[in-house]
Order: sequence, then C-alpha cells, then structure tokens
Amino acid sequence: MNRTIFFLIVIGTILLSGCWNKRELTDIAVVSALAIDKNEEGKYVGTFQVINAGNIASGEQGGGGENAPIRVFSATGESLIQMSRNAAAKMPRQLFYEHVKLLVISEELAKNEGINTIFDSLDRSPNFRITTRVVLARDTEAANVVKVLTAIEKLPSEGIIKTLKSAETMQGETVTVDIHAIMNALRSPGKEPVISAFTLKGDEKSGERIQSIQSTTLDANLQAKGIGVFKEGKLIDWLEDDAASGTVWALNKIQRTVMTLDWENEIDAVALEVIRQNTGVTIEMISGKPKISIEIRAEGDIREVKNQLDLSHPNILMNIEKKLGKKLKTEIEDAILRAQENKSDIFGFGEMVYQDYPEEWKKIKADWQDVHFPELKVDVKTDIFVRQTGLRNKPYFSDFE
Amino acid sequence: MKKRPSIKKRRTKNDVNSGISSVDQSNHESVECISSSLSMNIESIKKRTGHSPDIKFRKVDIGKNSGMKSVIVYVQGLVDEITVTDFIIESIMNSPRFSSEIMPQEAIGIISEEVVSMGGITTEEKWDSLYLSLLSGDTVIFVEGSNVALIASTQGGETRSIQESTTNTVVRGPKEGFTESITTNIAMVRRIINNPDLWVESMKIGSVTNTDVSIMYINGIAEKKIVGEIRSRLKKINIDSVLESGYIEQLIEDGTMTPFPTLHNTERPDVVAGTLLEGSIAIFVDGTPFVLLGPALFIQFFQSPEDYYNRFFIASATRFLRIFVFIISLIGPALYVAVTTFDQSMIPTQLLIMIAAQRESVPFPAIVEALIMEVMFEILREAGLRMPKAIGSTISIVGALVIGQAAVQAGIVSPAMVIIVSITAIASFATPSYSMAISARLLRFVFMISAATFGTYGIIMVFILVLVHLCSLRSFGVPYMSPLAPLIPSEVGDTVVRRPLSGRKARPKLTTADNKIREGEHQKPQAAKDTGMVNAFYQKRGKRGSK
Amino acid sequence: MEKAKISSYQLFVLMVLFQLGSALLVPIGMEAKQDAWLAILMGMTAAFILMYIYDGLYRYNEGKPLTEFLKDILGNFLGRFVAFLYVLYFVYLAARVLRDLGVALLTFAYPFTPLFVVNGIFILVVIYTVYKGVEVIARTGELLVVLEFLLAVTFIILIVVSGLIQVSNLKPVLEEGVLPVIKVALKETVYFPFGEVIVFLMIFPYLKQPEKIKKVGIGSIALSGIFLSLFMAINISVIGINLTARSHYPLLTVIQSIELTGFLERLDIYFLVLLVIGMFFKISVFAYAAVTGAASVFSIKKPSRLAYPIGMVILLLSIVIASNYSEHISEGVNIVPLYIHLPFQVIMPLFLLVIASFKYKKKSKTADEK
Repeated sequence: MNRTIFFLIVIGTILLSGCWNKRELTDIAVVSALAIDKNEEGKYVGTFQVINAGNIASGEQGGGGENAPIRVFSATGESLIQMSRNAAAKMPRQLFYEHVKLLVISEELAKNEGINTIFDSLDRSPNFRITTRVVLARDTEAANVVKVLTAIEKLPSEGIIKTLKSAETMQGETVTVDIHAIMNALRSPGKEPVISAFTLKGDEKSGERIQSIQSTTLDANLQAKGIGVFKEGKLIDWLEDDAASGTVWALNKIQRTVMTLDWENEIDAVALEVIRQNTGVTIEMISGKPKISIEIRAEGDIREVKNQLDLSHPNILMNIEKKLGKKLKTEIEDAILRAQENKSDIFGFGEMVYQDYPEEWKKIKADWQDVHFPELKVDVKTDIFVRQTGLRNKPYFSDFE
Repeated sequence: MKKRPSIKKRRTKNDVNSGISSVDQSNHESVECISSSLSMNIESIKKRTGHSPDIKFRKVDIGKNSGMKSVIVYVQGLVDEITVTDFIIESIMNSPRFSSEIMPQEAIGIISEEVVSMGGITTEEKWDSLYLSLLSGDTVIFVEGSNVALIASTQGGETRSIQESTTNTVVRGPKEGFTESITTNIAMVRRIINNPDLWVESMKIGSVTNTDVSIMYINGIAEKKIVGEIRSRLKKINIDSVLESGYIEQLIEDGTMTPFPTLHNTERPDVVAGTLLEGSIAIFVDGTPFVLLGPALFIQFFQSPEDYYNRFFIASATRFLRIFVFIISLIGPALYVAVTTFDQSMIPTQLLIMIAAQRESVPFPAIVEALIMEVMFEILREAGLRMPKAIGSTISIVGALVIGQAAVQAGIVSPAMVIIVSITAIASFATPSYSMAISARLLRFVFMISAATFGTYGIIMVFILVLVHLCSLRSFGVPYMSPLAPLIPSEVGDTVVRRPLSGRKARPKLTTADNKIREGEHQKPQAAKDTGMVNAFYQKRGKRGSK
Repeated sequence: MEKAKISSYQLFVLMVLFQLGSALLVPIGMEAKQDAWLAILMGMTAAFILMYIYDGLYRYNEGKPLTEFLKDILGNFLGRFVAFLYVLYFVYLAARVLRDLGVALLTFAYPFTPLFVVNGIFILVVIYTVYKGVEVIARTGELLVVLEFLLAVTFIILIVVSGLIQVSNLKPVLEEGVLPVIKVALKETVYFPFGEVIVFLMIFPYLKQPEKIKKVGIGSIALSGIFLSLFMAINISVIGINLTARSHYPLLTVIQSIELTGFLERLDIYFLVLLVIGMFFKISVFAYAAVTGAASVFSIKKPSRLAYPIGMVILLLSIVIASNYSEHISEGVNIVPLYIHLPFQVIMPLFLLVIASFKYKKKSKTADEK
C-alpha cells in the first residue's frame, strides 16, 4: 500500500512538472525556407520564410487567402547561430527549423566565401533535416527568392522544390540536391558539388505582395536557371543549356527529357521524349592512369516532327537514332570537357576510382582535381532507341505537295 | 503494510458471519424441524416472513371424506399458479384414494406417489431447506398431524421470454440471447450441445440472497484442475448477496489491480457453447442474462461468434481490424496531443500546417482541448445510457452535432480534435466485448496524460508498461496473452486472424484435458473430381459445340 | 531463483532482442570504415566461440545461475566476491545502456528535458518488469519481437523503394586488407553486442529444455549478427561511411532520409520505437540479472524485492557515469571493451571453465574409485 502511494507521488510529481519540452503549435513559427546572404559588413543575413498557418489552410476562419501565406523576417549575425538568435528576438514565436524544406544561398556568398562554413553548422544542428533541398540565387539576392509568392502552390518553398523537380525530370537541365548530397561531395576529395540556381524574373517588390498572385499573370516569377559548379566549396562556373543537360546526363539524373534533332536545314525538326535511360560508368586502369567509359542507353518516343519524315520507315528511324546518339555524345563530351577546364570533378569520377582501385587512388588522391582529372580520358558511348512514334506514323502534312 | 488488508478481511468475514448467525438464531428460536400441528406451522411461517401477503396459505381438505386437513403454501408470482390449482389443489381435494382411517404419514406417501401428478416432489422436515424451496418457487404441502412436509416443484411465474441479445448482436448466427432465468439459460446451452458429457454443478451463493449459481463444463474437454480451481474459488465466496454475475466475476478473478477483464461474459448461448468446446467453464448466475466464461484470454475479447460463421478471409480481416481499432481507441487522442505539443517534426509539413491553422484560434493547450472533448464525449455516452429511449436520439443529435459544431465554430476546439474524438468514440464500439472496451476507455486517459508530459516517448513507455502488465496477468492460471505469449504456434491461427475451419485440428492446449482432437483427417473441402455433374443436356451441347 | 520456466523460443527471442537492442542504433565497428558490416560478421563468428565457452561452463553447473555456481567453483567467499563483481558489471552495463537511451532521446527529440527524468521514467517501467519476473520479460519479448520485426521489414522495404541505396558506397571492400577488420572485430564488435550475452548465464537455468542452450545461443547470435550487419550495410550505403561514422545515431539519419510519395517522410517515430524497445530489453535483462545475482550473493529469499533499489542504483549511475556524452562514448570505445568486457566476458569464463573441468574430473575420478 505504502509503495503504491509512493509510486503515485513520484509519478504525479513527474507528470506535473514534466513540461520541459512542451511547445504548443501556437508557440512555434514553422520556418519553411531559409535564405542566406552576406551584407557589405561581412555579416550573414538570414531571411526566414515563416509559414502563416492561419492563412495557408483554406479554412473558413479569418477568411484565409486574403493575407499572404508566408511572412518573411531577416536578421544578421556573425555566424548562423547568432543570426538565428537575432531572428528569434524579432519573432513572437519560437523558430522551428525542422520543417525547413529549402535553403537558398546567394551567388555572392557562394562565389566569394564558399559554402563550407555554412554547411558545417547545418550538419551539426539536429534541427535541420539532411533532406533539405538547396538552391542558389542567381542574379538576385537570396532573400528575394524566399520573399516571392508563387502561383498554384500556396507555399513558395514547396513551389520552388516542385519546380526544380519538374525541371529536372522534364527538361533535364537542373539537379535537385539536398544538404546530404552537398556535404558528401564537399568532404570527398574525388567529388565536387553542383547546385541548381533560381533567378527572379520581373519586379521583386511587387512579387512580395499578395496581389501578385491574385492576377492570372505574375508580376514576379521564379525560374530555374543553370547549374552552379563548385570547387573547394566555392562557386566557379555556371552551366546552362547543353552543358547543363550534358552534365545531368553524365550524372545519371535524367528521368524524362526531350531531345531535339536538326534535320535537313530544319532546326529542332525531330523531338524525342526520353522515357527511360541508363547511364553506366566503368573505370579501367591503364598503366596507372584511370580511364573512364560512360555508356548511355536511352529509349524514347517521337513526339514532334516538323519535316515530312516517313517514320514508318525503319531506316529513317535508325538514322534518327544514330544522329541523336551522336548529338548526345558531343553534348556529354562537351560537359566533361567543361568540367575538366574548371578542374572540378562534379561527376565523382575520383570517388569511383577510389571505390574500384583504392591502392592507385592513394597515389593520385592529393592532386586529383588539379592534375589528374583534367587529363582524364573519358570515352562516351550512346545508344538511342526509338520505341514508338506516337499515335501516327507520318505527319498529317506529309501528302501536301 | 501487509497486515492491514488481512485485518480488514477478517472483519468483513465477521460481519457476514454475524449476519448469518442472527438469521440462524431466529431459526433456532423456533423449532428447527417442522411440527405436526398445522396451525403452528402456519403461524411460524407467518412470523418468519413477517406476514408478507404474497405468501399464500390455502387450506384444503384431503379427499372428499377423509376429514384430514392440509395447507398448501406458495409464494404468489414465483409459482406457476395453474399448476398449483390443477395438479395439487384439485387432485388433493378430489382424489378418491383417501379414506377416513388413513394416518397422516400414509397420507403424505399417497399424495406424493399417487395423487399429485407432477415431476418433482420431495419430502422435507427442516425449516431451513423448506424456506429455500418455498422462496425459490416451490409449493409446500403440510398435512395435519405429520411433521414432514411435501415440496412440489412448481417454479414458474412470469419471466422474460427469450429475446434477441442486445449487447452481442450479429448479422449471421442464432439470434436468441440468455434470459434472467438460470434454468432456461442452462437449457439453451444443452439444446446446442446434446451430449451427456455436458456437466452442470449447482450451488447457492449469498448468505442473504441464496442465489443459484451453476458451473457448466464438458467433461473430458475442460481441464480438471481449472474446474477444481473455479469450484473452490466459488465455494470460498462468503458474501451476503449476489445480484449479478459481476459480483462473482470480481470475487473469483486472479487479481483485482488490473483494468483488464480476466473473465469473459456473454449473453449468447452459442458463444458459451463455442468456448465450452475449447475447454472453458461457464458460470451461470440466476437473475442475469450474462454468463461468465473462464479462463479468458486477451484475444477472446476480440472474437465475435460471427467470425466462425463467416468465411475465413472476411473473419480474419475483421479481427485484424478490431485489434487495430482497439489500439486507435487507446492512443488516438494521445497521439494527437504528442504530435501537436512535442513531436511536430514527425509529421509531414502539409499536415502540420493544416493542424496548426486549426489550432491557431483555440485558446487551450492541446491536452486540455483533448481532455475537454474526451470528457464531453464520456458525458454524452453516460447520459445517453440513462436517457429514456424516446429522447435518446435527440440528445445524441444535440450532443454530437450542436455541441461539436458549435464548439468548433466558437473556436474552443479545433475540427481536427473533433475528428479524433469521433474516431476514438466509434473505435471504442468496434470491440466486441463491452468489458474490454471500457477498460480501453480508462486507459485512454492514462495515455493522454503521458503524451502531454513526454510526447511520443511517454506513449511508447506506457504502451510497453501496459504490455508488460498484460503479459503478467493470468486467468485461472492460464497466461492471459496466450497463445501469443507464450507462443503456441499451432493456435496462432485463431487469434489475430482466423484460419479456415478445416485447419483447426486441435483444441487449445492450455485449457483442455484429454479430448483434444477437434476434427477428423481430410476436412479440407475439395472440388469434385468428376466435372460432369452438370445437366446432361448442357454437356451434350458442349460436346457438339466443340465439334 | 524464482520458480519460472521459459521456452527455448522465448530465450531465443530474448537473446536476439538483447543483442539488437542498442547495437542497431549506434555506430559499431567504425574503425573498419565501410567494412564495418564485415567486422560485425567477424565479431559474430568470434562470438560463437564465446558461446561455446559459456555453454560448457553451464554444462558443469546445470540448473544454477552464474552467481550460484561461482560459489561452487571458487568456494563460498571468493565465489561470492566474484559474483558480486559480476553484479556490478551488469549494473554498470545497464547504466551505460540507459545513458545511451537518455542521450539519444535528448539529442533528437527532447533537448530541454532533464536526463534524470527521461531515464527515471524508463527505469520505472524496467523496475515493474523486473519485479514481475523472467517469465513476463520473456512473454513481453515474444510480443514486441513481432513489432520490431515488422518495423525492420517495412524499413528495409521503404529504403529499397525510395531508391536511396547506393551499393557503391560500400566499395572498396577490404581497402587495407583483412587484418584491420579482424582487429576491429576482436577489439570491439565481439564484445559489443555479442559477448554481452554472458548475462544470459543468469537466465539459462529457467530454460525448459536445457539441452537446447547451445543451439539457441548460436542461433540468436547468428541472426542478430546478420541483422546488424545488414543494417550497418544499409546505413553505409545510404548515407556513406563518412556521415555514418560521424553520426551518433546513423539509423536515425537514414530513417530521416526516407521520402516517399510526399507523405511517408519524417519517420523518426520508427527510430523512437526501435530505440525504446531495444533498450528496454537490454536494460531489463541486465537489471534482472543484477537483481537475481545480488539476491544470491547476499542470500536474499525474495529477489523481486531488490528490483526497486537496484533500479535506483542503475538510474543514479547512468547520470553520474560521465559528465558529457563524448566522455561516455570515448569510455565506451577505449576503456570498456579492453578493461571491462575482456576480463568479464572472456578471461574469467575461460578461467572458470578450466577450474570446473579439473574439479569435475576429480569428482568423477573419486566417484570411480569408490
């Protein structure tokens, strides 16, 4: 009996006092995106995109939709921790980082100072998920990227991530990377990170206002623009168009893209939608030097034809396949050449050498990026297969004479 | 620490004993045996029963010309009065067997053997047992000059007729439910199991109420040790009254410090028959339609008789659902509290935002909100039970719709909370056993409080605690969580899922004696080898077609 | 000893849960880098030998727990002393595991809650369980192993479906040859978690079929070894050796990387459940062994009465054991295996086995002479 009472008292005390970690939903400000800039004084400027929950849910209370779904605060600080502490002083609620989905880093910061220090503090923090997506802000401040409201998606950070993903799968000129991938690349001597960039088209100021998303066309629009190449944690180059898509191909990140082909003076006469592809990279050691061969197999359907091509003819299809293959090959080779000029192994070839030939890797590890990678011999092989030609085998204007 | 309860026990024992002894003493004051004088007997009965008007005395002359007097005593309402008038009063009055020189003792013999044409008739000399019979609906016949009374079993009177059981309803299966009469109830089970091995033992429990209690088991299937254990526990009961089988349940269970029921109860004869066949023992108590079944296993509380009548796919799916739903009814609101106050990082962002938006205007912390709603629901439920049926539905509309809707619109609670509470409310009714469902009802609050203090960690810890507790329980020595823990592989097929009947070869090991085999070999249904059982006409046509 | 019997399946389940316990969650064999999974397998193989020793030791003293037969082998006084050391060893290990748990909860979910409270809640449940006895521990194990198994299987399915596994992260295999891996196996993985099964010498006497001990022991070590190795391989292949080695709880990071269909994400609760269940059995078994051991050392009739005081000792020890987590970890890596595990898990049992075999021979000889 006594013991029961004792236990009850112990448990009761614990229950009554046990609210150390309690934070009600109304006590926290859910940060959905974080932008990091650097100001003239050399301090970090953090811009916090905080979700305005009452307005984002299409609830009837308070007439949601009238106000912006997000609020943006900024704070400065010598370090990220200090910055977030300064931000907390401006907020009525506790900043909650566990739901940060997007991290935006400004071009300036990435170019001049590099991203190493930022990522160290992100890595240590138990609040940031390693799956947080990272993008660069190009030709604009990072803060502007998180300030802009997006159409269709109510949550701008979600909108950016979805744009990034659809651009990666449909266009094949961007890559979606998260903190984990960047960190892995940063610390590995045989790999350098790449980060996609976003830019702001239109008027920054009006993009912040709720009216911006109330009209059918947007005053300010975010757009994916190129891939940033890093070396030793610093941004050194931008890849765009063919260079970007070649890189994405070589990284084996393409899912569905469209390849175009010029045909008899007609530019982009044939368009092939790639349905599935597989990129295989193998490494050989030839007299102590690694040789890379990339083999790509891609399958797709023909979606658009501008010429009077008779696609029912197997020879023509084979011809298309061959030409597309050749085009892809040069695209990739150009991308690799660009990387070699940059002396930045964004493809992780060095890592593969380490995995397959750890002994040899030890010798070349030290100056891989500067000496060995630029001299690396890369052999690209492409195989394109046209599987279907859509619902028709000839363009409807093929009989017009 | 140990002494106190024993003192208490002794005291209660004394209390009961003193009660009994006072009754006994009054008996001793009058004579222990009945006298040979009619008027003295009548007087003593009247005195003993306080001149209760429902005890009827009918003076009857024996035969037409013997000149002997007799008195017939019965309790109005307890006896079948038609039997009493037709078979006792009339036969005694009109019988030509009595002559004037007959002795009282002879008259008793003649009445019991030749005059009264009834099933049960016995003689009795002692007042004690005479009162027991009289008050349980028998008719007592005194004859002038004889110190032996005749007792004719005329039990009858108005009882509730057999109706559909209200607490364990099924779609498929027998509809009849037990009544308040123990004899009817036992007969209903006998009607299902036509076997001489179905044994019934009867006893009276309750020093004041003298309630009929019977245990029923199948000899050869029920484990002897468990039968003995139940019998001795029943014998040990020393209490003034047994008003419902719940009294017995609480007095014979293995331990009282548990929210979980360790005896099963049912209103359905088919459930009793089914569990008897698995070696359980049924305890019938007069005056209640609820029959106790023990030993009870945790998993039995999630089994519905319908599981065995439906095909096994559906039965397995619904069983799985029931256990899942039971867990929801336990931790549903607790999870909401934990997620909104501690572990906001563990739910998808979109969901978090939706909940956050709803909670934006709620003035209470999540735990208070949850407690308000849960208590409100408990009030509604309790009030709904007491409510006259006619306005019961009105109240539920007022409660559920008006209060729920209004509370949300007033911003006192969030819609998500209302959803959670309604889910748990509905979930708690999906458990087939009421006694298990109410234990979940209580534990739900424990889970909620632990969630409010330690979040998900608290829920997991309480969950483990409950699990450990469940594993430590026994019902008449049988581990409560068997056949899951300790694991009995051959019996897992009838727990969370129900395997096809053709695979149910043996009875449960722990509770059955020698008779273990349930079914013969090759019980699996098989398709006919000959497919030519169709109408010959179609066969012919088929052949022609193939040509 | 209490009057209880457990089946060989229950023992098997208990041993598996015990070994998976904390080992599933913390990085082990990290010095072997991406070959950590191999180091675990090798440690497992070495642990088979340990299991043979323990089984041999038990054969000589069937029906008695470790602390009892120590008295038979070493004499009453010395036996009691060594038994007492073993009790301390179990208490210390229980406290270490409890500290692991508390810190894990604090770092990833409840940073502002005092360690004492988190550990206190846990130890209360453990005390209740130990108080209820070994049968209840075993039965609870049977139920929770199903949950743990379901979680593990769904976890593997989720990881595979979300396409996070990059087998190339496991390459190069045996970068520095076999030797360093063996070294790690012998220095670390054999003791933790496999060698800790010595605590089951306190539980073997309850087994219904004592002839099955060897089979059950080897089987459980093999199963948990394979499981641990598989999970370590998954960890490394998903987040890479670098992050695995740097994480206090690599599995948590792996679980957090799962993102499927926009809804199956943030599955931290998986980790929490695995963590609590695993640690619960580990601490319960240690605490139970400590309780029955202490009862036999001090000749106390009712061991369950000791559950409460020993639980409190474990709780307090778990708080004062180290001033910060780094100290705790470095003790665990540098001191515990060599200076605590090795003597208690290998040297002492071997020594006992030798003495027991001499004594047994003598006895049988004298019996023959007579």
